[in-house]
Amino acid sequence: MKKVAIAGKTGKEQALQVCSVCGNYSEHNMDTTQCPVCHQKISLRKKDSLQKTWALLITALIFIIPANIYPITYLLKNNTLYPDTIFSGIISLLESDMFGIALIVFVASIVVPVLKLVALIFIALSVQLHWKFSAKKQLLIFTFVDWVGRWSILDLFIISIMVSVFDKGHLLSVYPGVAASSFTIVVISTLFAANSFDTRLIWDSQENQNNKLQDNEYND
Amino acid sequence: MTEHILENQAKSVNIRSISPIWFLPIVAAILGLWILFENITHAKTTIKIHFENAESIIVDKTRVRYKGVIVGTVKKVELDSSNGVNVMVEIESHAKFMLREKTQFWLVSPKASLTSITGLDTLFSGSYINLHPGSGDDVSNFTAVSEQPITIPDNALLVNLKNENAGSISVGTPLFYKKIKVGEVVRVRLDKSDQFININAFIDKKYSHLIKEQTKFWNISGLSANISRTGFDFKLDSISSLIAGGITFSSPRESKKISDNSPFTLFDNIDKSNAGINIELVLNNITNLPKGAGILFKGHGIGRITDIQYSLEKKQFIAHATINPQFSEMINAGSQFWLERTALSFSSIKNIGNLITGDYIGFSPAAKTEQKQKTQHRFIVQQTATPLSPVLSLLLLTDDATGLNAGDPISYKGLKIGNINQLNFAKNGKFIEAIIHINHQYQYLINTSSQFYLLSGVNIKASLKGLEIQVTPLQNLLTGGIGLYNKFPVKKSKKITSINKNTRFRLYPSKAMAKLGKNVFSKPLFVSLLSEQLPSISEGSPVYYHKFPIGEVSHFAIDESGLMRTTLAIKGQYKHLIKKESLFWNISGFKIDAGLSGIKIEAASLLSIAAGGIAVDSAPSNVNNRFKNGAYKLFNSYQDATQPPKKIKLIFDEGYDLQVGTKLRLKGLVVGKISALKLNKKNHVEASVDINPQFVKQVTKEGTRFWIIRSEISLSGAKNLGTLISGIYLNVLPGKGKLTTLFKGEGAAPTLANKNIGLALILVADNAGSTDISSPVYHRQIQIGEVIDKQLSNDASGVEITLNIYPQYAHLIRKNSIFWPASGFNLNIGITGASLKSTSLTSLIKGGINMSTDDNKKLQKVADAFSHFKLKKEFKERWLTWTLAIPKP
Repeated sequence: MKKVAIAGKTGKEQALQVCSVCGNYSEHNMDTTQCPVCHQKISLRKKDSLQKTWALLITALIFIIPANIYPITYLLKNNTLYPDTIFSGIISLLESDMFGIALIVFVASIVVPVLKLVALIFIALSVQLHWKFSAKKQLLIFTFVDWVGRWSILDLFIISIMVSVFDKGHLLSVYPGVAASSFTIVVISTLFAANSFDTRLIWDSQENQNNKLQDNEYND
Repeated sequence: MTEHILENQAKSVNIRSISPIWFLPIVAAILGLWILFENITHAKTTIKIHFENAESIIVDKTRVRYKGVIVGTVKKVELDSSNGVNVMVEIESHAKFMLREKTQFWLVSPKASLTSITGLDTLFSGSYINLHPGSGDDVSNFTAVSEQPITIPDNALLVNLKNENAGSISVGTPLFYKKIKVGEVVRVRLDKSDQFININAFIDKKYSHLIKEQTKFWNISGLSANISRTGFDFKLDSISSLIAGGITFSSPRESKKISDNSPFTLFDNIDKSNAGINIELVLNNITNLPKGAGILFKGHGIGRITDIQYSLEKKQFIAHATINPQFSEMINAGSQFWLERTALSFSSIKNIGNLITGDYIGFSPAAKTEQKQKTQHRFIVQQTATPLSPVLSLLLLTDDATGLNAGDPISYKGLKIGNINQLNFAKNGKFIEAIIHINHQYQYLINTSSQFYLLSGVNIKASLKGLEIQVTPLQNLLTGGIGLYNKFPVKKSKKITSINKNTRFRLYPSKAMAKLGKNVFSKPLFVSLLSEQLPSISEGSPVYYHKFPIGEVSHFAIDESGLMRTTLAIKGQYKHLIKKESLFWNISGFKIDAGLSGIKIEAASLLSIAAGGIAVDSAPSNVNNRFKNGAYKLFNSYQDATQPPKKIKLIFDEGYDLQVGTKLRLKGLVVGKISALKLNKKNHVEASVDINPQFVKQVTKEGTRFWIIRSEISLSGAKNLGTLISGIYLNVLPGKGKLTTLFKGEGAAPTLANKNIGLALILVADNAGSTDISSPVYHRQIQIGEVIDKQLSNDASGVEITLNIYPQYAHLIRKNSIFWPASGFNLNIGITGASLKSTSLTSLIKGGINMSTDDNKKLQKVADAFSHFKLKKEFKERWLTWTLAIPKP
């Protein structure tokens, strides 16, 4: 009864859909909205996947600007407030000859979020615009982004520790700045963007392009 | 087929639904746009400030502040091509409006001065640039000022002060009014002419009304220590003024408010500020009056002498003084000033501190009167304090001011009614004028008949005449002064008799003289005395009347009759004391009875000790005080004159220790003394005895017995030991016969001394044993009598011991009483040991006789006088157990 999935073809092509909960695949029909195995909602692709990804990416894109321009921490030392942006923090670390830490902060706070955004945008674009780019490489990039994304929370982790540790009133205190919130939004929105992105769309777009090409050929 | 279906389905999928997730980027976009808008509208302005140097300016760290708010950050520091540094500062948009042409910037760095520590915060936070907004057009290039510009609180009044030097005035020096800080110096600058210091200060708005046209400012900076002989004069207005100096000012009530901003002069001190009233004091001399001497009103300093100058024209010293403003109303025409100087007198020690500090000026305001006194600025300083109430001033004339001091009290019956104000020589040079002040309430005591006399305590006159010491009560000894004597008592209700101001009073040397009145000063009376020998006096020796000198010995001469003539000059005022019955006697020198009984000095007066003297008094009527020619007799003593002693003669077998001067005593009283001793033809000692007149009647009667009392020392006791020291004397037992002058003296006391009256008994014994005269007689160990005599019986068969039983015990002796000797001790030596019995320690030493009466028999009659008893030889124990009750008669 059960239709057997054939390797080398997408589920879509075979009218098969995978349940995201129990992992069983089932036939895709117009009226099937439930997984026959676990009775959870089931669909061919993640609903509005690309749309959600884009929305979250745009949010991240907007917030990454204040996250880098505005001070991420305020250091209150001897009654004077010293604001520090991410970049000024890295520079002051460099000035105090702490290259290792500066590198870590630089990678975790600047390189990783930017790369993540760039990578996701690239993948999303390639899906959107049906670019001919190796689906495998795209998946590789995506997997890396997904893996590295959790580390970009490192900054916020450090800030939260600093805020709680350095709380000596007017003498020495650390307060989170606007950039910290922005950065959090960036990190969370990219995480969700990566999560909401349906990697199968990569192949879908490739296929669509083939179809299109075929269509064009047909048209020609 | 399936493909178709799929295609159809794909188509249906392609119908795009818009996910609500798009809400997120839209919000983000709005936020982003808003931030962008904010950034554009709040764009920071970069300005350039030129500094002399960029010390402690750190890029990105140094802030620009206005009223404590951070309005900018230093972004760049670069060297100026010409001089100094340019500091680029980003000013935040909200502070942009302050960037005007006259806006001032200065660097605030920590500054610690004595009054304040400013910019302490910069110690930690680092220096910052402060901004003070100004007016003008918008500019972006500024030049920093080197110091903080004057910051004046809103609406504060700015005053300009001018002074010759800055003293301890500096920026921040407080201005005080009544020691409340009302303002602050904000700028100290040298005047353009380089002659003055311009001081800008502000007064807080709420105090600005205090500044008036007549306001005077003076410096109260720190500690003003005026070290002079008046002591250390520390003036310290407030601790902060001690540290930072200070300025204070006066605010005269009547003065107008200030109209323009013309500068005030800042004076160095209150004295120079003329805030006090300036007065001139005229002094004759300024001995010990230091510059800076205080002017004290009831001990409170109200002013100070600022300057003393000598006026050559007036030949006076003129002292300029400043009176504190609050006392200015007291200075008017009636005010009095006087010199308070050290007065050391017997009556008081005043202002002894002045010895060290120098004198000061006393002050008293005018007496309260209804009409307002005129103000006056020139006063004459009196030499002594004037009483506050109006006084009666009198002028006394005296020859001799010994013992008088200015300030000594005038007393009337011991009550102080005034004092001596001044002592001067009279114009004619003859007298000394004493100006005395009588207190108002005692003025009624003074009338034309009032007399003043010298009260001076110790009146010591040391002259060739000798030493005259007039002793007055101790109080006067201390106070001295002048006494007032009114012949007629004055009633208080009596109206004050007006006394002519020119009335002169004589000062009498003593009260007695004052009583005598004005004839004190009349001529002396000469009196001649005749005597066999010249008294041991010399010319000038005083003549006393009741120990009061009334004259002196004028000269000596030999009278026609061969007697010595002594002429006395009696002072005029005592003339009346010399009467027909006057009696003169010599009190020359002093009589010293220096015996072992002590030293007795008799002297009429100390002067008479040195110079001798003659005393005069009115004689009793029966004394023949004059020779037939009318001249007075000069007696050797008053006694000689009035009561010549009765002379009697005593004949003694032996002279013993009799001496001239040996006293005769009757019951201890001295009734006479031996005046001469000689051997008569019978080889007896004949003593001439002077019997004092009052005892003549008792002593010079037939039967009177005289015997010599000498010390006797024997084992039984010592008698009359006192005579060892005081010498022997003659005891007198008056007799009852006729008056006579010849007596027989006895060498020892008669057998029955007058005190040994009692019951006489005679004990018959074989021998006298240890019994001795005065050995006691005991009954139950109580002495009831004593042995008064012991002698052999007529036939020498035994000894007769005479006892005297004291009268109170006479009834104890009954006819059957037993006597036994108590003498010595009873030593029993047996096998059991030795026992020593002694009745008493006295009896052990003195011996004695015991008496007891048998209680087995009836009480018998009392023994008669001179009845005979036998003295038992043996003693029986049972005698001691007798307990016979003998009732008192």
